[in-house]
Amino acid sequence: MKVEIDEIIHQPTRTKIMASLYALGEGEEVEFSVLRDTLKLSDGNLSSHLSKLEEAGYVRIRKTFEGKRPKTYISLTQKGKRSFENYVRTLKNVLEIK
Amino acid sequence: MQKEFERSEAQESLLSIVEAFRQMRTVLARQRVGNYLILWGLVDFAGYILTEILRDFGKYEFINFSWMVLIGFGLIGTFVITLKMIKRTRAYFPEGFYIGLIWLSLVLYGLIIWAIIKMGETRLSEIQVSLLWLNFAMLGFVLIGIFLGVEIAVIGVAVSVFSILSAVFLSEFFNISMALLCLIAFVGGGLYINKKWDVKK
Repeated sequence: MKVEIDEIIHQPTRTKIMASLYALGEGEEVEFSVLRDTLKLSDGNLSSHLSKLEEAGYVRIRKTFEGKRPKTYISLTQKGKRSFENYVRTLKNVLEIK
Repeated sequence: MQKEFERSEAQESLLSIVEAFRQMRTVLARQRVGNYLILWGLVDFAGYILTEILRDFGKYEFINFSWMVLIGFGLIGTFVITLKMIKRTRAYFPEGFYIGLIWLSLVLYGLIIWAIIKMGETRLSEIQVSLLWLNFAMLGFVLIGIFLGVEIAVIGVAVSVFSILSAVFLSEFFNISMALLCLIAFVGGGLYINKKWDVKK
């Protein structure tokens, strides 16, 4: 079946990242290490995929300091939310799920 | 750009999405689990302290009643925390049902064992009654740890071990030692878990 698929999201690790952020809820952020541990990824692997998603405007990465410790928070943007919903819709269409 | 897309590929992607959803919901659901521990830590602390005070004043008939009242407060608090968690995560947490079943089974089996003991000639001492119920609850902690995280199971095992050591070696100060144990293990553990499992830690 020929379909239009979002190549940014359609990569196993990025699909999981987008799904995890979508499950968080609107406007909610997750700390980098929590996402890394939840998805069982390495720092480098998660960072590189997040960069791609950020370039596409799908995720927001907020870096801050808490005391002397650097903290990175990640959340889904409106564009990311819509794209993920479209992606899931495409999958369901292929599988003929209503 | 359109591309050829196999059903199996779509199926695989959808399954990985479902799995990622489940994992993140577990992370969200366990975020404030420490609140239950803090609540029951305070309930148990107050219970053991009250037991000690009532015993000192010879008011043995009020001991059971005070525990009933405190457990009632604990159950109301548990209900409120659960409602707040559901509202906060806005997500269905499938394991929540099984955790509920674990607690229900433990209470029922606890009552059955209690009834069997009552049928016989044996009378349990105050310390034995306390150990029986506390260790049933700790078995619950160990089982819940399987779903939520090893930290809860560790608290369960630690409280079990220390409660038995207290009963054997500190029976004179059992209520005080248990009050302190509950305060440190449950309230301390609850604060630690809330910090450790926070998604914005």
